[in-house]
Amino acid sequence: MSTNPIYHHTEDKLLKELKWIKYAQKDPRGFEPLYSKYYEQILRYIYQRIDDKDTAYDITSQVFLKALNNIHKYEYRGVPFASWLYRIAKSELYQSFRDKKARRTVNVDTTHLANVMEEIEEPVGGEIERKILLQLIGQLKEDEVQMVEMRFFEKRSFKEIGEILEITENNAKVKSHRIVQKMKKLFNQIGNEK
Amino acid sequence: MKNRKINVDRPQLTAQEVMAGKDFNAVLRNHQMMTKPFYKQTWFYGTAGFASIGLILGGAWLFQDEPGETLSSQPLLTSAPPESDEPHPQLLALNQDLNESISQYPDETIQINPLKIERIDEKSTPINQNQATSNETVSLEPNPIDESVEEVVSAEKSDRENDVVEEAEVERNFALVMSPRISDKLGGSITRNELLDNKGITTEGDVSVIHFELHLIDGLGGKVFTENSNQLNTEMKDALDKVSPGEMIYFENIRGKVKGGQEVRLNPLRYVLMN
Repeated sequence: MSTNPIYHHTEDKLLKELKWIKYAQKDPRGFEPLYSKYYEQILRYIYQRIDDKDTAYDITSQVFLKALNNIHKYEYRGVPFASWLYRIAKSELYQSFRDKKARRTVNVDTTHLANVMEEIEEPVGGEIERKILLQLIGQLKEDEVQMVEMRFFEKRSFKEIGEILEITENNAKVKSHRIVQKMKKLFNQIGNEK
Repeated sequence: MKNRKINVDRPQLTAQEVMAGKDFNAVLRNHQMMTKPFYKQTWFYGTAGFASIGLILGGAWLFQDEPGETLSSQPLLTSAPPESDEPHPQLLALNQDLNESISQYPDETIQINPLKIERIDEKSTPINQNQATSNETVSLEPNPIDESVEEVVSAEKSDRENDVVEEAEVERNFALVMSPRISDKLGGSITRNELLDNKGITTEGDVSVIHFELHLIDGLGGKVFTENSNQLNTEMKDALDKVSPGEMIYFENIRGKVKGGQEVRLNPLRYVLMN
């Protein structure tokens, strides 16, 4: 599975990023390089989960504002700064869902659906299979949908998923495996009902 | 089915759309609005508190009356030298020498012949001599010319002081007349009814308010509303409905027009919502 080149860093790049963070902790204007680097990633992450473009812009601004307000609390733990931003984005997103400012949306590409079908060892079929799969995604729990989105739709590595969800890489693998098993079971169950 | 919408093959955001929402300056502005001023931060309270306690304790310690220092700390009321309990060692030595020298001579009585006593002339005092040599006449009576000059100077001085006071008074009145207000309040606490008063932002002078900005700060960030009149618009009223009591409301960038059509910038307003 391909990895996100902007997210994954070498040790040197992480240290360079840390310098930017330290500068931003002293002067808020120093936050600009981090904002420029991660704005698109965070916007796409948010837009992937909601329906409205303007709300996505608003939430993204809120994420960066919160990050800037709390940059003095940031602690380097050997993972990219993006994981911290993703966690803020996640909490802001769920806050918007709770406040009913945005509606939870799952955006699926047909190509990604084919990947999921392969993963659950079902033949890549036609319209009926696609409908079953969509119905199946609708029945998953929120944390399960998150995992499916990150793993199959956004093509993130287990390491990255682990850092965003604050779990270990192995735990992310195990969870992903369990969800695939559940999806397989549900797929057969819905298929038999139809 | 959970309450979530599923979109299939929704177009991705283009690079232009991504750039459309990118505005670091807006984030920075909101951050600056949300940042507490230094006097509201915890470290300031701590430092100021400790400094105050230190000053109070230091002052108390400095002005504390110590029993041994009571006499020495009192100011001397006479020109006489303060009495000392301990005799001066040098003086003791001198007295000892004097007693020894006196004891060398036999006791003698000095006799004074009254006929040989001369009258001391008052003029022969050194002070009179000095006065005579300097040939200067010293008079204790006030000089009439000096007095008139002093009077003129003091009159000029009082005139100048009066002018300054009057100018300051005029400036203060002008500033008061030009100050914007809502329900005749220049700041401080305000009720919701007063705030939503139909008169909007007014001044006492011939200045009509033509533009203002309403700045509100909530938990998620600051919001700025702009209006090109002196009245609050619906959007502002809706936003004010959500403001809870005790929160600050800022009216910034207030611009007005004077009689000649000239545009002036007026003082900003700051209120605390009461209800």
